[in-house]
Amino acid sequence: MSALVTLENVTYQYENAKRYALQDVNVAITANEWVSVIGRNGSGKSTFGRLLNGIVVPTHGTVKVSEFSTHNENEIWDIRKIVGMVFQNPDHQFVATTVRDDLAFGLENLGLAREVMEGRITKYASLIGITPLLEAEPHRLSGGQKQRVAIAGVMAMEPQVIVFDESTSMLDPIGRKEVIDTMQMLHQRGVTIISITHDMDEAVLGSRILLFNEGKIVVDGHPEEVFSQKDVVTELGVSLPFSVELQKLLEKHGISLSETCLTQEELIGELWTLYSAK
Amino acid sequence: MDIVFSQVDYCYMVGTPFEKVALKDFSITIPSGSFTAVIGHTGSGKSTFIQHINGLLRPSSGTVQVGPYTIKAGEKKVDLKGLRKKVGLVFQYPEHQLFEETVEKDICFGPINFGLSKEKAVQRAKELMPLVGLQEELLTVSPFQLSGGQMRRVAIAGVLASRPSVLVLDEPAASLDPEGRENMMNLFHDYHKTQKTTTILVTHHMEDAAKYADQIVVLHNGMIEMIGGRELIFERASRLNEIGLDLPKSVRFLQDVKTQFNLKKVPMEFDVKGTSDFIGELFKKKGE
Repeated sequence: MSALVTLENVTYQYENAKRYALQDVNVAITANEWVSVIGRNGSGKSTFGRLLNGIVVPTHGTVKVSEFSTHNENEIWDIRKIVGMVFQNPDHQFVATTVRDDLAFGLENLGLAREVMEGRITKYASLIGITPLLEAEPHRLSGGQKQRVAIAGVMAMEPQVIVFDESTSMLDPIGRKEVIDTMQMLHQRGVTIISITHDMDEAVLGSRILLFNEGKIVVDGHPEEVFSQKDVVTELGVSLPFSVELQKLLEKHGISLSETCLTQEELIGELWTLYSAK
Repeated sequence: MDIVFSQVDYCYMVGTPFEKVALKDFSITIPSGSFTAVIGHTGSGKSTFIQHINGLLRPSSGTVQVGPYTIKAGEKKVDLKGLRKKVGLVFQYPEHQLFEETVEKDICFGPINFGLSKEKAVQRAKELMPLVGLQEELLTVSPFQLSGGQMRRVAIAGVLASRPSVLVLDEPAASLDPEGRENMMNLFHDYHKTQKTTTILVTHHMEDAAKYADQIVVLHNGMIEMIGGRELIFERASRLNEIGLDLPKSVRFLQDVKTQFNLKKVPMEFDVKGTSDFIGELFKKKGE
């Protein structure tokens, strides 16, 4: 399958910065992938996210989305129709006094007819499950509700790709679960998910991990593959998912499993199989 | 300093259609020198609670006592400056509050404002830099040239510079990478132990609550739902779940093991090491 998002030899340097935020990054992402982006603070993850819809453009190299390039100013709006972003702080993402007006704001920028806008608001509010909140004031919602409104706003633009930049990091456990469930639902409907996260239990939800270090992608692979290189990963400032860490310690007790278990359920299942056979 | 809340109620926007009770019949004693974690879902009253501790909010009824300072509903005269000198509050994203031209000026702003001489304030700033993990050379640069993580450390040094006896932390490690999170939490824990501060940590991370706190306070709908040591709190998994909270990962894991392995009892372990030791024993026994 041909790539939907392609970065070729991308280097990015912030104004007045001494070092490169990203250096010579090459990556291709195909439609409906779920890519988790991990790495230390300052490793280039967020810059990577911002390059994808032209919030920043590369100092060298190109970012292409479908057939468009972020270097071409005439194509930026085409790109933003394809790539939507959900940020970390839900409070920074609202402009209107009701949820309905807030959703309409993004659509007005697309120059859609009123009926089309209304139709989309109804459709995506219902899909994300925020219909009862449409007349509410955004600042009165819970954190999880705010993030789901932000997601509905992005969804209403009907993007093919959504970048989540630490979108669950400020939420309580329930809010976090609401957002993750929504991400999974969108993925099943064909949306390409790019999830920038510090939470490894969230990172393993994807089928591919990009691990950034000092502006470069140093590991690119399936979560099982990535986390089986336990020592490499921890050296790069990334923690292991709980079950992988536990599995590593269990080896010292002579309990070795043939596969890397990414979730608690998998690990308990494997341990039970081993235990029963003893 | 002991902190005592006696039957505190707090209402937002009293007398308007938006009136909302945020704290209800809230009574708690936090002993001097203790480390207390406050957990609860969004809107449970955590922020309202901690904002009473340094007088940002005043009770609608009831009394808040922080050491020698008493804030009673309806009474105006409170030495807020004295109180705030003693209570350091680290908000979420403290780096958004930096404003001075240099790191040094920013760290010294609080203590000078509270009456310390410039020389002494500068001396404290110098001492604090290594403690928060920053190089002394950075004192002369603009805080806005620093990375997000460094800016947060400067903001925290600014709070510590007033030598508060009570330290209130609202998700101080939010959005830091795992390594940064651990460093930040260890910094506060060390400070707590060496300075004997009364520390209050608001967090969504059950692991941090279990790891650092002597007592955990669970809030729900503006009331205290539970209070106690970590075993006591995390024993009540189903209730926690009902009010939108989770167990620490290691505790939940052993609970799931208990179900799958059909065990009568599992210990409560708060780290991966303890969890692996238990599983190791379990397998060893079966082999015998």
